[in-house]
Amino acid sequence: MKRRLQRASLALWLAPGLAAAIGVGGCDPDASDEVLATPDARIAIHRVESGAPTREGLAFIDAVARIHGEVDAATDMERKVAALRRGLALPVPANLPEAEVLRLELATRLGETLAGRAEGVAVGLDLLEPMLDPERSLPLDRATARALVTLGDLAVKAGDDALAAGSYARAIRVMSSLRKEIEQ
Amino acid sequence: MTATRPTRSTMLALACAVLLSAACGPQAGGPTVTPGGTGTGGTDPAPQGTNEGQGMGELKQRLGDLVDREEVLRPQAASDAGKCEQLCDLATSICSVQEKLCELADDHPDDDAYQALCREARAECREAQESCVRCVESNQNQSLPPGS
Repeated sequence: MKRRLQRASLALWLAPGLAAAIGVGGCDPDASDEVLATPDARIAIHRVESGAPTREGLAFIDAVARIHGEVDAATDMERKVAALRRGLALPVPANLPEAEVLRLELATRLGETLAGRAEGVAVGLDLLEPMLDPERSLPLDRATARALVTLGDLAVKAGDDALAAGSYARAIRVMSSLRKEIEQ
Repeated sequence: MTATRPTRSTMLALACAVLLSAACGPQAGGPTVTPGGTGTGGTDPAPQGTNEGQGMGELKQRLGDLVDREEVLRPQAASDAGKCEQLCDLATSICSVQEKLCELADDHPDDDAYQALCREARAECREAQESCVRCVESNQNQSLPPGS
């Protein structure tokens, strides 16, 4: 009986402290940042299999090539951004696995272009982060590694070290997989 | 009897005769060495290798074989060179990203996650560089004649 009372009083004594600790941990935005501040270096990759050429597929590849040509020729940043956005808005034809890589290249170029001005960093992050989400499987291609490096560079500019470190580490893992593929 | 002074043309003819006799003698040019031989030009005067021809026909045959072999090996060597270029290019990129990653890790010296990623990146950079060197060296060895 005495022991049970001792336990009850200990629980009563600890309860406010525990509640306070949980409350602080659950509501303090800094505390949740601490949890998210671990670099996420998970990477899932898949090989890009070449699909059978179709008229729609070739038209898409041609349109993307023209967009890149337009960006090469443009000196004005706004024009570059507009052209790249148009490229990303192109409807992706069915049965063109390479489209994933082509879209990543466009997004990377747009991210690099946007990184040229301070207000573009957040926009670039908003564009690339979902495309390169660690939950998504990414194509085993140099374009993926370049996109991840660009995401890392943007994250550095935004002061998000965890995202930057995770992205760089994932880029290295993609390149490492490519290296092993070549060596085989 | 008066000794006649040798004329310039006589001297030239004599010099040519001496040179020709030296060139045609059994020791002319030292031992013959096949591309597959040691190439040391040592003391053994016997021909090395089994395919060395003596006559014009055999030499022509051998030249033809070598040309055929080169035609087979050239595309392979080119593709190997392309492979090495890719591997070395990847090594450069990996090491450059590793530097960025480890710079970030330096800003978080007490964070094990950053330190572990930096260590992994360093190891991958080293491995990629070694892979590049291995490829280039093996390519060079293949392009050299055997035994050299």
